[in-house]
Amino acid sequence: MDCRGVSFSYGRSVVLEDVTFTVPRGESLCVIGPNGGGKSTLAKLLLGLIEPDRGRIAVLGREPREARTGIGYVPQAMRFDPQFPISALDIVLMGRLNHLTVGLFSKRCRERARAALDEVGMSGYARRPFSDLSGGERQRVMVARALACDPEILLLDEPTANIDLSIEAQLIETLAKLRERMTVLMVTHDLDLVSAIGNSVLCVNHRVHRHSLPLSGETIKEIYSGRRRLEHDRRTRHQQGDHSACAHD
Amino acid sequence: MTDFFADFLDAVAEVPLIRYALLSGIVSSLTFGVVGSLVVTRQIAYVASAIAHSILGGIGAAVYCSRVYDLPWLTPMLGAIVAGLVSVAVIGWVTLRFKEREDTIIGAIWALGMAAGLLFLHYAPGKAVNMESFIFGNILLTSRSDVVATLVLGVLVFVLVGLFYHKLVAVSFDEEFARLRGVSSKAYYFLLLGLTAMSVVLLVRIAGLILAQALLVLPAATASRFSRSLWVVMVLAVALTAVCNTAGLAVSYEYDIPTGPFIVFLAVGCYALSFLFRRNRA
Repeated sequence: MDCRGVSFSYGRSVVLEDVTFTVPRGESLCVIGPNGGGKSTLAKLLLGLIEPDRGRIAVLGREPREARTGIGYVPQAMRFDPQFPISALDIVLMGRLNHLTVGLFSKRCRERARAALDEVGMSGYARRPFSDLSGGERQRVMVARALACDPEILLLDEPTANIDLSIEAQLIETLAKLRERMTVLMVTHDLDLVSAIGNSVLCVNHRVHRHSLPLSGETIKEIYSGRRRLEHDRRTRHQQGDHSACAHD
Repeated sequence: MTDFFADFLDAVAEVPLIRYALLSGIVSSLTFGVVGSLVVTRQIAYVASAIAHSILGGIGAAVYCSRVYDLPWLTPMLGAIVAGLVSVAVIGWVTLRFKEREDTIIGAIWALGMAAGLLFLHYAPGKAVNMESFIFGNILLTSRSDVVATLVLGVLVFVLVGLFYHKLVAVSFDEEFARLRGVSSKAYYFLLLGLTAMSVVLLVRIAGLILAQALLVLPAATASRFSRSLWVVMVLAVALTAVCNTAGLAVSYEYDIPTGPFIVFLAVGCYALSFLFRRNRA
């Protein structure tokens, strides 16, 4: 994934400004930052769900919209209607929708979906309704759905949000296995998950800043207090020769 | 009890009016159950109601124009079809474009449809139009051609939903993910709204606006409390609608009760009873 000078605004509100970063194949990148900093917007840009105002994004060497089939997207399971009448297998089969024109899924698609469920340790849950699953089980079904896409990139949006610690450990174990064979980009607030899965960290707070792991306590404080953005602005202005700005900061 | 059923079966055998009413009730269950299940799981019951009410505007405009401009081919049914399609386009566009204000705008379209219908009918020259027949319908006035038209609609709905079942489910469950897998969520949303509008238009003739809305939503809502997959919800909703229609017709025949309102009463009763039973875990 390659972002060059990407900016995006919702109306007058600037969400991302001049964002540049690259994720090499096979890397596990954790995207962290304060709420409203632009993490989810960045994920949507990479998925091609929205277009940048400025700049260029390439995913797997193509436009994000054209590269969608190569991305397995895992949204937060808690945002779905828990009473929706659907089984775990039918949810995972959605990962094969681009192989379906009309009618029913082929035998091959069903086998792939079952294999994906097996991969996340949910093979016995295929016929279980979504409403009967716990928060952690639902999240693992969402990961299975992404795997059923046969992705080169796995993009997860806060995978451990609203699940308890014991379930989180299982999920981390699953993701640790997956990162060995695909590129993983994960939006998260969970620093345990960051240290267990990530190779590197991208702090997003309107602009971006890359960090290597492990994160120090001071860095974490800076990221979530917003100081990082100020420092980045100051550094940029300093490089541009605007020394008066530093004095104000 | 045996006499009750014997009396009703005799009436079905001997009186064409009752026979067609029973047939249309059973045949329309297919449309109500299948489309209603999609409406309930997609949580667009209020959108379906807005479409149903806007149809009244089309009926009123057709009656007014046909009388004032002497256009005998402009039937209330044609007006309802045009109004249904226009409201699908407007409501679909509003719900996709103005998400944050959609309930207010849909409420306005709903009220505008009814108000326009009432005004057109008030100023239409000639014999006063019986509004009650459009609002509550009269299943006992169903003709053979109504039964055939309802059957054709039911088969069309069945085929379309069968062909696009998985995509309709995906778009209803997670529109964003469906879009990422190449499914045009907008196209399937409009397909669902279109099916809803056509179902309401055709069923208003036999069931009226209120009954059509009630039968579209209540049996499917009742079925969804006990089912684990959408196709099972559809099957249960079709069966429940058929039972409500048949029982409502039988009781109203035996005890001389208005049929439409009594069917609504049964559908509401089933939905209320469903709360006495355990539902799926949230």
